[in-house]
Amino acid sequence: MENLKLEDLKYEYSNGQQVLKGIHADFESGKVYAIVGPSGCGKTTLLSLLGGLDEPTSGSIKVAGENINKLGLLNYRKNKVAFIFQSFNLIDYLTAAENVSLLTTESPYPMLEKVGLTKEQAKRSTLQLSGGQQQRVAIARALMSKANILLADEPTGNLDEETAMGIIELLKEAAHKMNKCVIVVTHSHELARNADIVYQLKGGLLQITQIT
Amino acid sequence: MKFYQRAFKYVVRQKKKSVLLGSIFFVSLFICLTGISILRVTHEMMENIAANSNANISIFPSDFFSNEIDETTIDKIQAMENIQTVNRLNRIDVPLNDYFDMGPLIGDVFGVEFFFTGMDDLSLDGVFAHQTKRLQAGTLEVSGHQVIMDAGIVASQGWKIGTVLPFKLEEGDVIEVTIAGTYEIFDPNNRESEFRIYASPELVNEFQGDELYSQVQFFVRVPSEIEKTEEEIEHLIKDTDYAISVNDALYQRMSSSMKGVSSLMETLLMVTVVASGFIVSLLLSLWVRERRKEAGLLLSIGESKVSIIAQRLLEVFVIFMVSFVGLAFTNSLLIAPLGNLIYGLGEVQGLPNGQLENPEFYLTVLDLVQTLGIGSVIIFIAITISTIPLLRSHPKNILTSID
Repeated sequence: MENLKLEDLKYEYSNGQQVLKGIHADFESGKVYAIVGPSGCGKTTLLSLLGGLDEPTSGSIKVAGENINKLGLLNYRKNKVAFIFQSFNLIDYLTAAENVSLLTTESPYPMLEKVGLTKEQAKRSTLQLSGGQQQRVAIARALMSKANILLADEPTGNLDEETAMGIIELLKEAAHKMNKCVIVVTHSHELARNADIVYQLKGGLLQITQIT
Repeated sequence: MKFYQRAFKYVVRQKKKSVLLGSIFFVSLFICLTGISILRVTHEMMENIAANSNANISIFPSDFFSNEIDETTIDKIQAMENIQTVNRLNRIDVPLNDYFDMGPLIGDVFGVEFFFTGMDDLSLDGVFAHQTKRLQAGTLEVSGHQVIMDAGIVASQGWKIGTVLPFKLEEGDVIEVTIAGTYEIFDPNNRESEFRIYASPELVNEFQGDELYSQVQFFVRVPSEIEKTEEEIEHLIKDTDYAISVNDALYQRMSSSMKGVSSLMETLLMVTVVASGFIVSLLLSLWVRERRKEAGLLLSIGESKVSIIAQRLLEVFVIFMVSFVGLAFTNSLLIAPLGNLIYGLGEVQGLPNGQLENPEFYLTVLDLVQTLGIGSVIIFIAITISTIPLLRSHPKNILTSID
């Protein structure tokens, strides 16, 4: 079980604006966390820090007790976290199966089947899949990685309601059945309602608003 | 999936882009390879011309036929860096110390004079080099007391190759010479015999009792530097009344057309390299921009910028190598007609007398290696330029700009 711990995390933009003002939080495996907040409050910045794409101005991010800077951000991104993006971010010249195989040498087909794609669909170019199918491929890719921490940035933002529900179920399954730590940044009330813990980012600080 | 696996899949599946880039490589490197090959042949021919054009500087006294130039002056000039060989020329009239049958109408004559011309190398300059006379028998390479005489005279007197003839010095001594060759006048309409003898300068010096010459030709190593050499010689002989004559008309004529072709090819090569570098850089920059999303994703899953750039480099290099193989094959078939066309347009010909053959155009391994080098430099520069934005971007900025 790898916990993600934030200690007094602060972040300042290059123009001096402080967007995160000392965040303390603990993220555990086996749970779905939703981070909500108004536009521009720093949700994506927080997710970038959690994903090792940027470094905080001060404070620390620890995974299983070890500071991610000590692990090395490249190593951290490769082995500890996996991203799921709003716009799926699949590589368009690869098939669905090849996109999943970016992070693993194992066969991607069982996982793709698990997220609801047939073998025939898995062999298609990603441009030939629907939005929902593409997001399932992205989730499958994240699940196939060694990462225990899944970070999702508005994963249902480009999907219709019914498709979005399917994705939410997958994320819940990843947490509850596969013991992943799923952290989702979202504007979706439906997704927030389905999370185990909801954090609100306001005024540069993180507050719990819901525990299920 | 490794970066090289992604690279190959990209090249194969993005056919239109691969073909476009491949075509640009094909056309630009075809021009480069053609230019390199023609330039090489041109430089080889220029060297050949320099070696065979016999460009030289002659010095001679104001009294053209008097032997006045001494060995000291010759040695000084010969020591110059650009002087390759020396051809000394001296002249003297010497009476034959024997009866000479002038024919039935005139009768026998004792002491008839022959006009001796001494020259180090009769094939370099003079009547034999310019083909107003030709060797009928024997050898042109005379030394010691060997001489070459008019074939008609030799025949009329019953002489032959190997006949020894006595010639009289002013003091009364006699020097015997041996006929080593006979010549005839090249003009079939001119059948007159002449009392001329060709020999080595040493033999003439023996007759005149001194080492003096009426003309000395200094053949240069590098014809393009002949003017500088002329100035140096002028400086050396400034206290004498020797005149200087520069003889490089043949070199000038041959080299001017060669220089024209060389200049054209160099310009074409430079323009092609710059233009193709610019086009490839622009194209790759646009394509790298299009693939920002892919780069962001790869960074988010832990790929390094180096691995992403390596993938881009490999994609371009694979397309380049496929084009290169195609263009090498095509160029090997077309280089000869192309080369001949360009030389024909530039009015380049071989030297007269068949001294320099018409050029042969073909590809060498060095041509291919040089073209490969140029292509690699273009790719390297284009990839560097196109990936600078990626190198300078923060992963977070790439990803947030996508979404």
